[in-house]
Amino acid sequence: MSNPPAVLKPTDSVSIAIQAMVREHLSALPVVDVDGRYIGMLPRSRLIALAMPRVLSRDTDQQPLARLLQVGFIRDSLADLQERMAAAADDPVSRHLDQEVPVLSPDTPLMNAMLFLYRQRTVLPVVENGKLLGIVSVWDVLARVGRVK
Amino acid sequence: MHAAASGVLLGLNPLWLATVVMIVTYGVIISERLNRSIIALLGAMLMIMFGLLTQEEAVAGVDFNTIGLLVGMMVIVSITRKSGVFEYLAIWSAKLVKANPAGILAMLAVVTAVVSALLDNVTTVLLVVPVTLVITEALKVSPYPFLFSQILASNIGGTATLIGDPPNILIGGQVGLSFNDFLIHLSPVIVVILIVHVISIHLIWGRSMASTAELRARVMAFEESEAITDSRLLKLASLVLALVIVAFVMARPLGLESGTIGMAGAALLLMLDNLGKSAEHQSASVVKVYNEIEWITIFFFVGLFIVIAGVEHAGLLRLLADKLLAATGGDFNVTGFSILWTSAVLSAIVDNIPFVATMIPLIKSLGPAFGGADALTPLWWCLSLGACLGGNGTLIGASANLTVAGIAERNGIPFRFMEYTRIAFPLMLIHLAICNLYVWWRYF
Repeated sequence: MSNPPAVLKPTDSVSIAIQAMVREHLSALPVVDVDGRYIGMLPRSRLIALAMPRVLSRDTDQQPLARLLQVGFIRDSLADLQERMAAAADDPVSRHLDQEVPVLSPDTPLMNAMLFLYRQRTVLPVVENGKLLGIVSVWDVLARVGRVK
Repeated sequence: MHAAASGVLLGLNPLWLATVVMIVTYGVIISERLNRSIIALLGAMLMIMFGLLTQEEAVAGVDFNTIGLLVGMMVIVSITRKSGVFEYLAIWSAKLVKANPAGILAMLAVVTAVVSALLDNVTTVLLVVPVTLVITEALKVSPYPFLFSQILASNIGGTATLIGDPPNILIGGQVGLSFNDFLIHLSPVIVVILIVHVISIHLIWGRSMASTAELRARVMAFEESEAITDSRLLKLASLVLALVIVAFVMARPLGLESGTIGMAGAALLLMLDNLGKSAEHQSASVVKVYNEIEWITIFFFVGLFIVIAGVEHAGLLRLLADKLLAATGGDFNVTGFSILWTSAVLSAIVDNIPFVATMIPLIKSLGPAFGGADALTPLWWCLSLGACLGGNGTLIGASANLTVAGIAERNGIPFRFMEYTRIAFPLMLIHLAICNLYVWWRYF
């Protein structure tokens, strides 16, 4: 476990989140209220989704809607993506949290955390009694497992 | 026969026991407390365990034409849609009308209806709705009118052919009506209803729709050829689909039944799609296709066929047919109109499949009273038109309706029962009135 490099407040805007994520090269940010209580995670995928047509970003494993759709026909330019992102820039991050991010506790078995990381999660929150204790990231784990000094 | 009479549980009256099993089964199906495929299978197994049917009689009650056609078409569709041809069609049609919103509203209704005549309705809306949402977002117009119109169009289009909608597959399979029969008798009135539908939607929503030239240019920039992912597969699938349609049209002279044609088409397309692939690759691709078969529907049909065989065997359906004849005074026209309107109203409220599956043997047993099986033909069209079009009446009337509403809700577009019904039910009544005029003019 490590300390998160950055933490968001629920009222922070999407544009603040993007800046933090780009600056620190992060793939997900934990959101925590003023008392340090864990609210949720904002992964990069939710931010990328804000620049795409809505129907594509609503794709889930249970309802693989957009997977039916080949999206190459959409000829949106960078300006179009910027316009979509700008429309959501002032939204509070609390509106775009990913509720499906698994939450670890201090006594979660190591193998469970490994399985989540294997399944394409890169940052997992560690929460005890509602408070965010820290994060487990794929880089922490690879460094320890691979004995990277 | 004596096995059914003597083997019945505790010597109970088979007529009553079978009726109770059917009513409980249908009651649970309507209440939606248990997945419909589970309750239909349970009801079916009770019919056998209570001694109302032997296993052989139960299996004989499962109509292979229906099951074979459903499974065959599901396999063909699940392979074909990977090619992206349906997305291509939707984008192409939108560009054809210069991305004018009112034009797209009409074009997508027509595309939905035509595709739906050849494919299952739910599959059709699953293919057309995502493209629609991309287009309406680009044009910054409300997607609701488009989705509303596509629900109705999919049920309307599906009514036109033998393979378009499950009630027609059931009627065609069990009564022995051909693809051509459906085309000749139903498509003329369906074309009229589709035109009326497009005009109504235009008057309600289309004429007040607007978008800027700039936004329309965005849709015009869509490159439909990019939607085609696999042009080899597209050619193979089009070839097989064309062969299947030809086989349906020539079914009588070829002496082929619809179940055989569907299954043969599936086998042929599976073979062409897998030819030249390695063994592991083949099994992976075949498993994927088989997984996409809607097993809920298939098991539901199997169970339902057995439940109905049970009540038919016990004599309930003959009894009901006598009551129906008495109620209509044995008048053919009154019987036809009653079937049309009753099927429509019931199908708007409950699942039309159990209703149609029960009505088929019931109507068949009216044959002697009306001068033989051939004389009944107009009644089958009344049943099909009522059951298929009635599904448009409410949001729960057909599975395509619920599918679209589900996608819409997930995309933040409210799709409320009453708001839908308020406009759809009157439109459905207009469509039914057209059908009523049509059958009266053509058959009575």
